[in-house]
Amino acid sequence: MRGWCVLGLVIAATANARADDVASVRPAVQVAKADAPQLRTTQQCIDQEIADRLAIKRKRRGAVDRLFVKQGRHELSIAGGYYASDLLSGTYVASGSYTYHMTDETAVEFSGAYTHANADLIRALEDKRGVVLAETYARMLFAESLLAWSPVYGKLRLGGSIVHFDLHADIGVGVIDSKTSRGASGVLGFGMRLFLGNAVAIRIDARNRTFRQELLDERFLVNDSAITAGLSLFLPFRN
Amino acid sequence: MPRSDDPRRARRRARTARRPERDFAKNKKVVVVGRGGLYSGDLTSSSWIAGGSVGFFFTEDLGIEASFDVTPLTLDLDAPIAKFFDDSRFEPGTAYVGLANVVWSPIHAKLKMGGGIVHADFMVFAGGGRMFHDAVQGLAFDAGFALDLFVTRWLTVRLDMRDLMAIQEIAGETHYTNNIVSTLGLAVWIPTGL
Repeated sequence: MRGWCVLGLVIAATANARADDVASVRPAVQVAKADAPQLRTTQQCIDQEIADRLAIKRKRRGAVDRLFVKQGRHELSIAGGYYASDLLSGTYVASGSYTYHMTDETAVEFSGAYTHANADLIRALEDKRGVVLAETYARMLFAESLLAWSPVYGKLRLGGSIVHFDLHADIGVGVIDSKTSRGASGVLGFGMRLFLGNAVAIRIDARNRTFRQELLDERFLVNDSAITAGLSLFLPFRN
Repeated sequence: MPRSDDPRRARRRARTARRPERDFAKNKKVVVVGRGGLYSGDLTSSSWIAGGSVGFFFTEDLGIEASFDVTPLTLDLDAPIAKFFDDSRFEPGTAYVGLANVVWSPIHAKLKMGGGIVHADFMVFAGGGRMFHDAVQGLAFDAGFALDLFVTRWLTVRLDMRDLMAIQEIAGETHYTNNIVSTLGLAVWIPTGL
């Protein structure tokens, strides 16, 4: 009887040990299975060369939102163009500006412009009458600060290549220093940047300045327009 | 496998044939534009301008248009000059501008506006006509550029800017003037079935 019990105990102990062994082996097998590389359906069914080609196509389809990123960059611009004076005749204008792009859509710009009064009519009348009415070539200096909003970003095909561009609208205030006007002005404008490479852009702007101008002892509220084209340099040079 | 039998190539060819390069076709369509904006006079004062045009595109890139605009021609300096010299040298009035232009649209663009993609065309145009007013002599010429935003299949928003060149005589002085005209308008595209 005692012998049978001992045999039974031995058999039970052996069974437990085997169960423990199996239990310890099972997770190891599972871990081993997890470690083994899982074969994807493409690898299981398709040739490796075709799988590589499909992978390249998947990478090519990935879209990059904007190739030219303005956020956090500084823009230095110089431009020149035509100044259409409300009260006087049209003439040239030269300008320079510094813009800080807070985001890709909003920016703050500080700009300065130089032009001169071009009073063709008054000069003609002075010549005829032999009198001097006003200084007809007085220089005009503008200093402005503007908020720029660029909601539109696009691509266009120019020749054979794709060029990225954006459209922006500007609003701000400034001051004028001139013999015919000394005071504040309101500025409204819109423009376009054509991006060349990572750091350079061609910039075209149209601006309207509203301010008070005094000529021949009369004061006028004038709207002077200017259209300029120029170059911009972005710092740092890379996105 | 011969190139002609490759099914992948056949699928690519079919996709390309179905997908047109431009969503909006201008070819053989009539365009009617209504617009308004700012007239920045060279010798005269700045003022508003309003009008419209009718155009036809022979191909996707080339078309012609005839336009008619109205603007008041004024001279703010006339009052102080008249006070000083005791005579008035300028009679203000309404100027009527009739022009015919050749339009070339070489650049097609896609813009991201808000959350969507909008197609657009950049156009340049040049031509001539007449500015009808006593202070304007001879023919007038214009040249400029425009941006057409295709907001629907038959309506576009057009921004344009042009230099209107004319010979004006004011206060006994004759000058060749460059007047900048900036307008915003709506264009309706009508298919002709040609």
